[in-house]
Amino acid sequence: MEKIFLFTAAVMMLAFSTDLAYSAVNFTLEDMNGKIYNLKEQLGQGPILIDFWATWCTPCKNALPHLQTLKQKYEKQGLTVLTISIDSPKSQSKIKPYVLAKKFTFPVLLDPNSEVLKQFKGNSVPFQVIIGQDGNVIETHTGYNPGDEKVLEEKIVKLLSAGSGNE
Amino acid sequence: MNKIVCLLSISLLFLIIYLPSAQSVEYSGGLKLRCDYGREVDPQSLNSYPDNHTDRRYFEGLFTSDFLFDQPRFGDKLLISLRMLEFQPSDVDGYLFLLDDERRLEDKIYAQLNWGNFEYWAGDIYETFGKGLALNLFENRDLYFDSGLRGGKINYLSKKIRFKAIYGQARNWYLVHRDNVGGFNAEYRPVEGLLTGASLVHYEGLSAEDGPAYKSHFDPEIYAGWDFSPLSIYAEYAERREENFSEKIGSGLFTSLTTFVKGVSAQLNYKYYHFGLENSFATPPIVQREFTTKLLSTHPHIPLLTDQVGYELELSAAPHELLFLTFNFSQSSQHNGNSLLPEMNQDYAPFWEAFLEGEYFASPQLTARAALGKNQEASNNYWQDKTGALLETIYNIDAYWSLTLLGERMWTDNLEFNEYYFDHYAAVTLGRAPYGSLTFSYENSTRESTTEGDQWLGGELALTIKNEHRLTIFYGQERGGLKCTSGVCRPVQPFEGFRIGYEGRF
Repeated sequence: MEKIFLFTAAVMMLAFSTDLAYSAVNFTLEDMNGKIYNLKEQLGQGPILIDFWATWCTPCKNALPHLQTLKQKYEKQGLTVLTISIDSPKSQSKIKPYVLAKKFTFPVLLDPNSEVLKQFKGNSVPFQVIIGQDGNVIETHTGYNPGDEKVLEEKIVKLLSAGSGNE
Repeated sequence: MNKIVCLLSISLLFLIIYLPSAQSVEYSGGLKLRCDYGREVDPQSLNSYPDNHTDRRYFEGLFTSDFLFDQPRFGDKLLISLRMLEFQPSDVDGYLFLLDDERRLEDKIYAQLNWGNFEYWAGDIYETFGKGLALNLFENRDLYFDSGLRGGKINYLSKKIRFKAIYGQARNWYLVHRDNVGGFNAEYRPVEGLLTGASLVHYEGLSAEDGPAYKSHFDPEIYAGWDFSPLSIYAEYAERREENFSEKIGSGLFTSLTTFVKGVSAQLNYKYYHFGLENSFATPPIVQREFTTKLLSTHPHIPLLTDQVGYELELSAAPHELLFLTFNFSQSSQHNGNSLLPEMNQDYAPFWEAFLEGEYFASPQLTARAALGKNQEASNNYWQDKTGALLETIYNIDAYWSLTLLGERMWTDNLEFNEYYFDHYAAVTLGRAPYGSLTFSYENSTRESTTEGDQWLGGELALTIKNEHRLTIFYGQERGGLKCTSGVCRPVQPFEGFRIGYEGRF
């Protein structure tokens, strides 16, 4: 066990010294209305913000109204907001009533086995991923504290003002 | 499928065909660590609390490595993902969940090739058909549950047609048998809003405990959905049939009706499950609210999914722009003959629950959430009555600092043991975006228990470092209970001590 610890500690040190920048794996998921979304088709317009959530997760639900605000504010400038629910088939039916009543207009894709979440190396929700318009994962973030949305907005504004969405 | 053959096949595929011709190869990784150091209650101990404790040493290290090949010789993208898990459960978890030495080192590997409308997967795979009446494979590390297969699958996706085929072998795991599982699913959307689908899944039990006449069965299913705003309907029907297909073991039906009118969203779900045979690879919708308040949710009603009839109504509305309300009511029981509705007679393990939750956005600085839930269930012919109340406020001190206060109370009246008691839970969280939060929690119970004590105090620091790295440190006491996800539950023992967690991506 000690060897594993030492090994992982070394990996962590390596990790801290590098910036995150790798291509996002393409995924194809259905949204809650049965429409099929492909990440590749969303690329090229500007940065993409992906938020993984679930109906049973209170911090996730606290974060969603801020994503709606970001969508409304920056959509015309090129921001795409995608949310992905990891609700299992058991709780999946709760998604649509919640989203409709909250008047959210962003797409809600379904990832019932958390396969796409795992591909982005997320372990828990809420989990956010920012992808540049070239398809590179620029940043990921786990959890939600009030105020996180302001930091997120600053990053998105920076990306949009940079024009390419790749910085 | 033989593990070595699988690994060799993927390696050969990787080395011979793709590596020399890929335009670029990118690497990304993830790491998750968890270490518990303290004491936990030993359910086998004959002593009373606190002398029923034993040492808890738990370690989990999960290392994920992804290699992404762009424009390989065949296909658009190829992903090779390796996952190594070093896992050392505590002694108590080891014997409770049959986690022998064989299960303490998990390696997982899969290759995913995207090529036009096709996706090819080989290695460790997961999948869901429809709403999961015939097939739902998932992994939850917290529950020691993993119904994933080692094998392959192919998905074809277009706007009108979707096809999936899967075959593989599951490994012995908590609540999961070693089975060969194979099946296919096809969906057709003739016009926008209309969905039709069908699946056929075959299960072949290989576990030694199933004896020489191991179980083997087919699960055929059909489903359809129609979304014609403001109404959408969905229905899924599955059967469980004997190996020769002629004899029906059981069946299950799930239907859902959703509408959104004048700012009110309503959903009515109905279940009629009479599968006759348990199958951990197929977990249909539970049709009850799984998460209400923390206290109610950690003392849940566990439905017997092979024998259930019931319904659930959920209403959500925003009567004012500052207020959001949700109401949920569900009722269920085991079957009484062919009755299509739940039976509230104690002989049929009935359950009902009503839950009301309101969120009030008082100002940009202050949000409040209040909830009230009540449920009743009969177990061993005795009624148990639980009522839970919750109040939470989130106060944004400034743009980055926030204070969250949470208080809960639960009243329990258990006629089986002639008990009436209260549980309380309180938590205070100070958050600083985006760096992390500090939480203190306190829980107590007036229940006289000889096994778990009556109060639990703990503190947790969560730190986010450079966004990609998150460290959590817990110290204190944690109450046990049931941990449930997707209807799969496992008992968690009361714990006291340190828990350190890390997760990161690079």
